[in-house]
Amino acid sequence: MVQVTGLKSRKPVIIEASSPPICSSCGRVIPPGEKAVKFYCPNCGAVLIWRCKKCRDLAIPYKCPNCGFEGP
Amino acid sequence: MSMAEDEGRNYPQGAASIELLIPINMYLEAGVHIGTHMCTQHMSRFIYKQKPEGPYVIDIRKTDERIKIAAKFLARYRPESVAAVSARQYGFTPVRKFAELTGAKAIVGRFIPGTFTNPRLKHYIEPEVLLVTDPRVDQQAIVEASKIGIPVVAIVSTDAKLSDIDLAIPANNKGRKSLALIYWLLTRQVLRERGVIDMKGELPVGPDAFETKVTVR
Repeated sequence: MVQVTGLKSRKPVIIEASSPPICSSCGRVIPPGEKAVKFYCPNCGAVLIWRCKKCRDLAIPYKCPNCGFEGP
Repeated sequence: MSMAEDEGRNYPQGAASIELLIPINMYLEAGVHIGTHMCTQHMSRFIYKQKPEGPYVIDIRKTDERIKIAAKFLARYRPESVAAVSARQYGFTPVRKFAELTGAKAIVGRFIPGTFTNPRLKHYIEPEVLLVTDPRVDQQAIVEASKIGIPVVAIVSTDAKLSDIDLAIPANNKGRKSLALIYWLLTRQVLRERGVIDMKGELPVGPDAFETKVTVR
């Protein structure tokens, strides 16, 4: 039995975009243009940490998932 | 009995067993542990105790640990992309010495607005990381660093807020000897991390060279 695949069964071609940065403190996606900061974990230097503007203003702590360092 | 000896006696026995960068007495003699009469919520986790007279005491072990971490952090950046700022007079000499030995850029005295944000200025620079002596005094530098999105390392006392700061070094940032010792340790540790000197190596100058000299008029 032959299956005919029409246009409807075809999946749309997805061009993968780069994943948006996520704040290490609150887990929110950081929109482009926001005055966020990124740096490698001060202790181990293995993980890239992003902090959104709000979390920086309120001094909400961040934690490195690799070494467990808690800042600021 | 001196104040430093008295403080050292009151420290728990475990403090001696943890390997510090320098003997604990050097920290106590320089007054690195002395905080202010005020304590913010942000700084409460760095407090060791409050004295009966009122001032808070900073936990030296946390200071030591943070100096090591901050040095590791600063050593990852290019030397010329580190900017050290001090508007506090007792921080002028330590910052200049730090910049001289590590190759960083020193900004002492008044921080001219636009130094990080206005390319038309003659003294415009684009640092990648900022080292601040006192966040209460160097507020303009921190605001501009947050605008251009660079991480901020700050020496903070018990009265500081940690807004816009990414790595805090809890210590006395008001004392002449305290600032000299902290910057001396930071310099030594940054050079060790970069491999300029051995991991057990010493600087050619001591903490005295980092002290601002008091002039009697």
